[in-house]
Amino acid sequence: MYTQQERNLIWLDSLNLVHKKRDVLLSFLQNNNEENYITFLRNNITKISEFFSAKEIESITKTLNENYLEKIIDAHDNAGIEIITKESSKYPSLLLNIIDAPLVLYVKGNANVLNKNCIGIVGTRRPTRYGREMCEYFTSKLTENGLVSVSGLAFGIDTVCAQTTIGSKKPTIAVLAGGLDNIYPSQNYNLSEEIVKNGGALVSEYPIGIRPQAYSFLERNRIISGLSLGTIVIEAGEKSGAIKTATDCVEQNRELFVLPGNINSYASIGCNNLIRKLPHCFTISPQEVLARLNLEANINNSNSNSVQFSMEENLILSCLDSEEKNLDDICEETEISSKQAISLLSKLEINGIIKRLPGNYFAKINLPN
Amino acid sequence: MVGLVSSFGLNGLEGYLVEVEVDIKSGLPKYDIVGLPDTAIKESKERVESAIKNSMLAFPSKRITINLAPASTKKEGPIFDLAIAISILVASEQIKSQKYKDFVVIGELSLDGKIRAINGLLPLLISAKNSGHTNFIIPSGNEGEASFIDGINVFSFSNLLDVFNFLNGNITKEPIKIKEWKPEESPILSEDFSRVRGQFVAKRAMEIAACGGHNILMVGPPGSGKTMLARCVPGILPDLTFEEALEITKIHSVAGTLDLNKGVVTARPFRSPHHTATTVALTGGGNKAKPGEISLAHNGVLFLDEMPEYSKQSLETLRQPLEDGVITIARNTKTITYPANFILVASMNPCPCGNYGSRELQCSCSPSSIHKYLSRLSGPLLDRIDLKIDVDRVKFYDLSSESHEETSAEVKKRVNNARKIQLERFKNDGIYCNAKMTTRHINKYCKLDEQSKKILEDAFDRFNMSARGYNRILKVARTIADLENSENIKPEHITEAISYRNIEKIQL
Repeated sequence: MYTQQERNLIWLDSLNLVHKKRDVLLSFLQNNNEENYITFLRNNITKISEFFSAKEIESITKTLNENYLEKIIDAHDNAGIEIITKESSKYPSLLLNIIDAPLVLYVKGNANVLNKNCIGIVGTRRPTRYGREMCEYFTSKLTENGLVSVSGLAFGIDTVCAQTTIGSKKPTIAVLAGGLDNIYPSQNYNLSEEIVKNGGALVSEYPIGIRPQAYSFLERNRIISGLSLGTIVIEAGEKSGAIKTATDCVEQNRELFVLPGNINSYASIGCNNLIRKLPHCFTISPQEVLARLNLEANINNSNSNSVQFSMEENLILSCLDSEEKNLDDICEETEISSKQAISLLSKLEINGIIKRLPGNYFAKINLPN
Repeated sequence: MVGLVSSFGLNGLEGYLVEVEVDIKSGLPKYDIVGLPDTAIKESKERVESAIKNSMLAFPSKRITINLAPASTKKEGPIFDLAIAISILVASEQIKSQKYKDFVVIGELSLDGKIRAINGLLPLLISAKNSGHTNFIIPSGNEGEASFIDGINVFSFSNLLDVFNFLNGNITKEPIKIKEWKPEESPILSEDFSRVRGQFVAKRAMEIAACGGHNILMVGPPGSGKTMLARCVPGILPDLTFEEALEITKIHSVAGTLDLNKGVVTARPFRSPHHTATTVALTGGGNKAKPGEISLAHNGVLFLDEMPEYSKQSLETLRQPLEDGVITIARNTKTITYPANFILVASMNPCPCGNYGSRELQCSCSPSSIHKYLSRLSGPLLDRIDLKIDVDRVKFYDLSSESHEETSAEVKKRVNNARKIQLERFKNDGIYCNAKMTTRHINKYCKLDEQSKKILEDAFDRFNMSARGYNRILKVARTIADLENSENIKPEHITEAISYRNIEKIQL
């Protein structure tokens, strides 16, 4: 099922070595033009002793039999996880171009989406309402135009991005920081299942059994930007994983898109800083994103305003034009009785015209034109 | 010579006949009680002996055996003291008249011969009345409870000597008079709605909850007035009926929390156990299988402040009573069913720090800690709560405004009217309010027109609601329609009902 070359890489990846040492070993083996790394090393383990400590050599020796490799491949097969190595034609071509591209990708779900046009959508784990809305807006518009959204399955923006894409029945990709049997955060387990069910994919550079570590979250960010034509930062705090993704994105020579935010908002400091440093990444519309990626834009912003509003409904809507207000203020301004207002607001909410916020506040859903 | 006096024991809320037999034989003085007595009854030996002596009566210095029949049932409490004393006086032939045979004797004695009030008299009297007993001798301290039951003759006494004289025919006494029962106008514990400024949504939801018997959950930051709102609920609940009052009194009488001056309760209970309360304190139980907070809140309000702080186990045990309106407590000696039909009023913060979604303050909780906090309330429990509302801090100008706010009495009027409609509708269905409707009732009484159906469908699509949410919305909409005195559920009732569902929207 896997070629000998692929098997070699799967074995090498399973050693879970530090990337530097892994690359040294790989180049050594490649220079020797070896067919089968396992058999070669079984007979010539001394040849690599200069690169590794005695302890490391010992643990490598333990893996030098075909059974070990078969076990790993079987385990992934049983878990429904496809192993895609750099040698495979399925390996996403965009990712191949980055420095330090993963040797092996572990994929659950539809591996074909990895080679489609992808767009990374990242941001804070604690978004504001603005961040949520913009994430929904950008995600739905871009996926409608055939892009596949890529995010990290974290709370906040990542979750909104995945949910929005699934909601419009489009595939999405989630890049995880640990083995695919360790969904983190565990609360998003159901979401991960949904992603697979909807024709999307879960991707990781780690084999099963590896738990996510603090550093691996930062490392997986390079895969998010690496898979994608470009990356959008929706909202990001001053120190944020999203900023790291943006940096990776720039280093990989991909398009970076950053949404501006309020200067007094904790969740916009990072974004605004990025814009100050890299003014060209300033973005305010999905059309802009598509244009800079040289893709055709087909965006329909009509709010499907076929619904006719009654006089009272119009009063309420015009009173919500300037800012979000709470029920008491709305009633005072419009002179509609509170009881009637509850009913009307609920109706507008069902129709998707307004949004209910905590504390009985209401806001009009205003999308940029 | 054998003396035999009737008394009544209590098992849960049900009384049972206990015959107190005393046999006095010659022999060395010895004094024994048999018939599975508990410690309080065993100790009654001392009380009875002193009480008889201090009432200037003779205590026979012979061999005395007291039997509490039926001998197989475990008996509790000091309520047989008086019956034992009378039985001894009969056996020693100091009471010569046969009049005592007509009476059920209940009461606790003190050493000087006074008769003390007991717990649980009302359920005793009601059970005894139902099993055909008509004449009772009770402690004068319990007069209040007894004076609301008609069809029986109750004689109350304050000391043993009076009972002795009465049974011997030396004095005559009138049975206590039946009093007219009146529900209290404004419960003392209750706050008044007119003192709550703003908070229209919360007040409206409270009104709906009180009217249809719906459970309600308030979510809001600390200091937003959740507790005060909850305290308003007793004041707008529909008027207490005498039957309901008796049910409440029975439970409180057994638990010993009854105001003996009033006798029968006049207001719906409002119970707010602290969140450190144990499961047994909430549900009832312990060695003697006493009623817990949920039974003490029967026909009233159970207020759980900071609901996620209660132990998971305690909260989950609420599920069955919320569904059935009763709690069955099984202990090694007995199994008792207490009624527990209450409106659950609960409050909670939206997150551990309380500021999630706040406009003024920044929430400092991590997404996973909010998730953990919210998941302390299980889905099945939340399913049993029909109304879930947001409560926000009131702004200053609201507090200082002089505008007229509705009083609890005005709200109560509407609630009373709407409750009457429900009682009329459900008279053949064995339920009494909208919250208790099952799917069968909902299909029968919650018919929707096309427009309403369309709204409900749209809402389902928009908010990803569950099928369970469907029935909840219909029940609440039915109550809203009743409050407007509307025969059919109209679209605006449905839209309003849909708006009371906040917690399902909290996102991470």
